[in-house]
Amino acid sequence: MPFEWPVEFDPSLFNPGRLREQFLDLGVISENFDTLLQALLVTVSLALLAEALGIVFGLALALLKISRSRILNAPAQLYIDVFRGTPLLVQIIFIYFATPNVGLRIESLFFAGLVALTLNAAAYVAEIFRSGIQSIDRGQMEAGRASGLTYAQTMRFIIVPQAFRRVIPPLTNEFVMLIKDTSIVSVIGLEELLRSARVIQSATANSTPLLVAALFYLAICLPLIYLANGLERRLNRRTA
Amino acid sequence: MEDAPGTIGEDGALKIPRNILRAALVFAALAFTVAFAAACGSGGGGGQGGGDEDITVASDIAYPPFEFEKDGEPVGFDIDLMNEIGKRAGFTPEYQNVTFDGIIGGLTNNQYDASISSMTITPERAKRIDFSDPYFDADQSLLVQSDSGIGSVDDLGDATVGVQLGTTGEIKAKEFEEQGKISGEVRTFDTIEDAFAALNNGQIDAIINDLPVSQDEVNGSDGSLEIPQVIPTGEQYGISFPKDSDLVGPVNKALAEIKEDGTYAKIYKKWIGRAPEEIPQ
Repeated sequence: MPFEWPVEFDPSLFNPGRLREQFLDLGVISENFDTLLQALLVTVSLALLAEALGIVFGLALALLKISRSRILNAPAQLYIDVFRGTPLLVQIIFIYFATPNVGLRIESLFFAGLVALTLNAAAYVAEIFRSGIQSIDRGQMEAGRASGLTYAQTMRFIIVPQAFRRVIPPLTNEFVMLIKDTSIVSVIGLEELLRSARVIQSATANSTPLLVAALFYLAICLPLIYLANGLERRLNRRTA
Repeated sequence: MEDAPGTIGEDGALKIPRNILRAALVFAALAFTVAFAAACGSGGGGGQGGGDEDITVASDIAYPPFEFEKDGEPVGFDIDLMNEIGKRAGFTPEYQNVTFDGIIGGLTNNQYDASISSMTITPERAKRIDFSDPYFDADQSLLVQSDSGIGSVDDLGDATVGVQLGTTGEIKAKEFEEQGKISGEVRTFDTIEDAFAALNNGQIDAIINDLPVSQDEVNGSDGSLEIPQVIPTGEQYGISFPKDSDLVGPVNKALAEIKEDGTYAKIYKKWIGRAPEEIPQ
């Protein structure tokens, strides 16, 4: 089989007018802006809640994972491996479509999406916390223990607070991923930003809503990306 | 302190250690080889028609009995029909599995040469794409669980109604919503199979969708699903093309022959399970 380039330029297809008409129809934007704004609200609340819950759950997982006890660290390790090693899309489909067969019926799409995103985020957050905690100098734990604090107290009052500062930049990056990942929840029918855009796209036969949705994602993600970069630089300066 | 991999050096330049660079190069070469092999493999397969020209045919291949996969190959009413048309019109369809709501956009942007995907011919769609002559008479239907107590669209009330995004079922449901017959949620799914799964799970209460496809689902449900109401729309499926495509003429000619010489009735019997009441005109 001779090699064929998978892309070819066909000048007869060149049609910037159609591109603008299909992807930048201002009428479609103004008529559906409120609906898209509503959907943006769903996306943002989904992402914020999942991140908050993911941090709590993920920190617990990280503490389990660094524990010396095999009974504690093995299940945490397994959990993290499974959720980091399988696609989020599969996880969401499983959580929504498989749970009724074990008698659990998740009535709210928002809740189903929140559960899936939280479980997934927790695995990534756990790895971030683990590396953050392990980056704190060993001497701190030894000093804490030597001054009479227990392992848990040293973690609680000395190690974790310092680790928290270090993990803020990677956590922010993870949050940006999570915001974009909320679009995957659209597969179960939740009208977050992406599905709302696609429903309008189907009704108006115009792809402009997708562009608007993309700009919305960009508008919330970009400030976070720059925030993470700035924090990282500051942290690097301080520790250098 | 030694620089960690990929850190910014004193001079502000990004330092990438040589071993990481080498690993990245090996990885890129490997990825390229695999992609190349995959492209060659897929380019050679799928030629069933024996025509002289390959054309890209988009289809949402999750819509039995019209298009679905069996042993990794697309099969169904539409697939048999399109292959037969290709044989007579001198092209080989290469099927591309896509989501239904992306078909019209893909055609208008010339991403596909044609589509056969149980698509109803509507005036709105015909503004953006060209259709062949009709090849199937269809209606809409209300699909529910047999013990739901829903006897018709008028019983829906605040029920949650599932539809597939971009289908005439979605359009019909929106219509019922405007008429006040549906006061609950109209929930859109990417594939009809997802909607069926949600109905079987009791996560939605009803589905509005093409009759033959919902009928196929009822037939395989051991009595747990039923169609309490057929919603007559007189709609007809057509093969679709980008506007002003050269393919419309030859496809229509082949389709007319197929309807005439009894091949249509044969394909209909094979997938719908009975003879067609009349040949769509």
